[in-house]
Amino acid sequence: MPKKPAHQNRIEMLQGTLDLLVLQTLRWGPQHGYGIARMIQANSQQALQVETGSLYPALHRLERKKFIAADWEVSENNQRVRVYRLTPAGKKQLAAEQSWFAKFSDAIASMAKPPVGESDR
Amino acid sequence: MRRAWWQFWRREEEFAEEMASHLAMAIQERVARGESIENATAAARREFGNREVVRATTRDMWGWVWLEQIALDFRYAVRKLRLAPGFTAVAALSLAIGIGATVTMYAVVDAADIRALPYPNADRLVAMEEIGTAKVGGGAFREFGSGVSAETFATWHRSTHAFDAMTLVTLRDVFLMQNEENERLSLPEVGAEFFSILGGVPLIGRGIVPSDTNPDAPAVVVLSQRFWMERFRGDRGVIGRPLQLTRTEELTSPRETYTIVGVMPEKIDYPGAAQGWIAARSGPPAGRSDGISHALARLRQGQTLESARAELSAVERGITRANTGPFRATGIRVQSLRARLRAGQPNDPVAMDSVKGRAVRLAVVFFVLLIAVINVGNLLLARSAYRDHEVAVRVALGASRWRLAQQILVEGGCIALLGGSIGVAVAWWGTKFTASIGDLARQGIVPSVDLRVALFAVVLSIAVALGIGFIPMLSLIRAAGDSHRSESPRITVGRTRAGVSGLLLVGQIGAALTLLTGAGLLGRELLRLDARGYDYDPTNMIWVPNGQTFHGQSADVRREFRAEALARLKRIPGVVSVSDLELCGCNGFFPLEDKTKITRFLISAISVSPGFLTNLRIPLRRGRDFTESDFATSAPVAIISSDAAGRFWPDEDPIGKQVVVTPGISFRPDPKPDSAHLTVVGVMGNPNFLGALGSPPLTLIRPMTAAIGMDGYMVRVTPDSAATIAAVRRTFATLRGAPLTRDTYGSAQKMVIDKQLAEQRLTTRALLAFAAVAVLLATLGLHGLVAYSVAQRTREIGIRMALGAESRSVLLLVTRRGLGLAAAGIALGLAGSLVLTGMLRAMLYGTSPTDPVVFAGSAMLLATVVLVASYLPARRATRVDPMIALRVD
Repeated sequence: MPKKPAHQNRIEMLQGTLDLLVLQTLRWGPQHGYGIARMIQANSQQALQVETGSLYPALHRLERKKFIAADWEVSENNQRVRVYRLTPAGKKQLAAEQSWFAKFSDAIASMAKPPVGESDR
Repeated sequence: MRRAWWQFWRREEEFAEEMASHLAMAIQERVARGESIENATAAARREFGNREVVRATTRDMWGWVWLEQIALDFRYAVRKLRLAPGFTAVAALSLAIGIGATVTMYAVVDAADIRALPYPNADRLVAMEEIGTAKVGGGAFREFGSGVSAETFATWHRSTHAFDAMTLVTLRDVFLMQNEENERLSLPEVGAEFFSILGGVPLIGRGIVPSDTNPDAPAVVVLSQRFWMERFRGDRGVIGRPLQLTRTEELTSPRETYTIVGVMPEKIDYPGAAQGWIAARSGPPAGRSDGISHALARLRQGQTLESARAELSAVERGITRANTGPFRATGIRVQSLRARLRAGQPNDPVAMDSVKGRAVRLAVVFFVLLIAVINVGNLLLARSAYRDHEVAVRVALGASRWRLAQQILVEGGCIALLGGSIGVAVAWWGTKFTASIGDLARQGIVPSVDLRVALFAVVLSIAVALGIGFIPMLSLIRAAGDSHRSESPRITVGRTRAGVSGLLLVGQIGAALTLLTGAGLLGRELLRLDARGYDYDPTNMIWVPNGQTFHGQSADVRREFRAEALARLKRIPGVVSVSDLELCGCNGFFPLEDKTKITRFLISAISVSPGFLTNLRIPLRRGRDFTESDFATSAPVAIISSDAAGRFWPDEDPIGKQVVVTPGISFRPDPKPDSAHLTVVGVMGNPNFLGALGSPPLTLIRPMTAAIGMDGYMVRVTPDSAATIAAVRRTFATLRGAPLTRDTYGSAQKMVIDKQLAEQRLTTRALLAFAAVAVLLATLGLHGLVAYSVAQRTREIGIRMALGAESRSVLLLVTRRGLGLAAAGIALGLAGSLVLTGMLRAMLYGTSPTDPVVFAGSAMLLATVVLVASYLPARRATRVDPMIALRVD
């Protein structure tokens, strides 16, 4: 997924970002789709709302690329849930995306001179 | 594919469950925070968004898209094909004819040459006999099977180790008494091992057991399933019933009673068209005519044909022969069973029952299928002319080339599917038809659409689908490439594109020309045959071969016998006229007047009794018929066929000319001293049925003398009823005691000659009709393609006109290109034609494979098609307002 930013349109960039967030979240351990959405929300202090219409395509796309794997498990509430976990390939990918994102956000930050600390803490 | 669908649906269900659990957890969390269930559910749903949208966007990630796309392409293709029923019908039907014919011919080849014999261990079954050589005319030697005697067989049986079972199979005359008439049956005598060698398990009753072959055992017979169904309507009570058989055809000959002990299933059919099998009892064949025997054996595991042959040769050398008959055995022949069954097939490529004949036919039908595929591909391409725009738009919107190619393949696949299904139906009918053709039936070759043939049809249809899609696919992908480079790809025809489509056109013209010449040559040959075919009237003729060469009998005895036979035949009610004839392949020498131009050639010299021309209804073209005094004095006169006359005295009157006839065919350049010098007194039509009898087509008749050769009677009857044929047979049966030693005239039959000709004509006609359809298609396809390539230039022509070009010069420009393409294509096609006609050579008797009329005619026709196809659209383009031409899209 590490592409040159210049070739990405807006949607792809957001998708790429979401991929990064999903992989980042799964670093803490296996989690189901709802859990991932809640964790992203919580970790960004409600700033990032993850739409299910974006989350699930992202999850299934990452699964197909074998960055994450899924299993059916039974939750504490006795519910069958699909749980995703990071694969070794996913860990490598995460490292690559982190360095790409660092450059990208630096570039954006230096252009926009933002009030530091709002969205990226 | 089914697996893929199943996985797709499972995935779909799993995702539904995943979404449900997501929603359930969201609700649970809200309820845990203290919201009411109703509020929590509503809020969670709102938060979740449109489930269908989520489902659709997620599904795209599964990589199943192609499945949906194919379904979509399929619907799109079907809709498009339904909108163009004319195109669809032409395309599907031409493919159906091509696929049907190819599959039919493949089924024939499969049945005759590929399919294993239906016996277990079929590859280990061998047939063996002794061979001798005989001198045929001109000092040539020919090998023939001379059978194997019971004593020799016993030695083989005793002294060989290469076989684990062996039996003697003897063919002997045997007749079934029925309705005051004796009918010849094919009931080979076999030993007890016969059925175990072939692996035959009786349908009902039993096979032949060792005790059946004791000298004093009761006579038993096992029936074939076909005979059992025909004669006994499959009655299971047939076991134990008697069958009255005689050894000669005379009604008075003693009967022997055979007990039916069993029925063998249909697959046991050795040695070809057997109606049953008699248990061979050892001991001297008292009162029986000599039969012809060969040995049937099964090789021991690990033995090969060669090792068996080597062993048997060694055994054979040890046999000393007290009695050397007329034919001395000079060796042995060990053949696989298939080779044995296919032996005796003529190597005449016109005949369906020769390996080469089948191969030529398969090649021809495959070639036509190829043309059909290319044409349908062309039609698709021509239709896609207005699709270039669609392609450009779709590429601009981000469609991948593979996606476009996939759609064309699906469309080609739809047409191929339609054509293939009709084609299999055609093949089903075709195999039934070919199975009924005498040549094949006689050989026991029964083509049918079995599993392997069906598989062949499927593979063929897939290949056809890919083939159809190939041409337009190349072109469209290129179009897609163009549109990447320029915003409006159709202002002019790009250099690359024009070049490639030009190459395609040249190939097309070449292929069409090749086909056209092939079809033309076949057609000319057929017309020639047809024109010559009716110089005699074969209806209601019975040919009764004597099958007897009065060997060692005096001329008086022969004359007496024949006079008696003629007189008796004429008395039979229903017999209109009879002629007695002797047929002789001879060396003839023409024209004798000029010694420097003397030519030797083969001629059928027929000695005839009075009334030959009238009986066969052969017209007398010039001169006179034989007179009574000619016959009385055996005058040295001849009537020659018009073919012979035209060939040797093309510009002269042949009446009064001399011809020299030497019996037998040799390569001596000049007449032997004992030759007959005959004076030509008349010219008749061509009795070309003689060719079907294996005689040279040039013919000469002369008053009956004591010539040697194949002889028999041509009997014209009315009406042509079974009763009359039976009466003819009976007449000969009662004539026995005359100098005959073997009664082959029992085979009196309805003009086999005519039937053979008719079959040949039928298959040739089918091929011709087929070729005509293909030629029509090729012409249409070519026209469409050329017209399309010119129509593409409408805008270019518009620009030229707008810039002041004269319409004449524009027309010249376009037609000149067409002419150039046509010239290149014709050059290519002529090369291809020479290759094809090399294959066809064997099918052409009287037409030269490089017949200039056919070649020039085909080339002219194609050149005309190309010119018309370039001229008409070009003229249309010059006539439209340049502004409109520029806007065309």
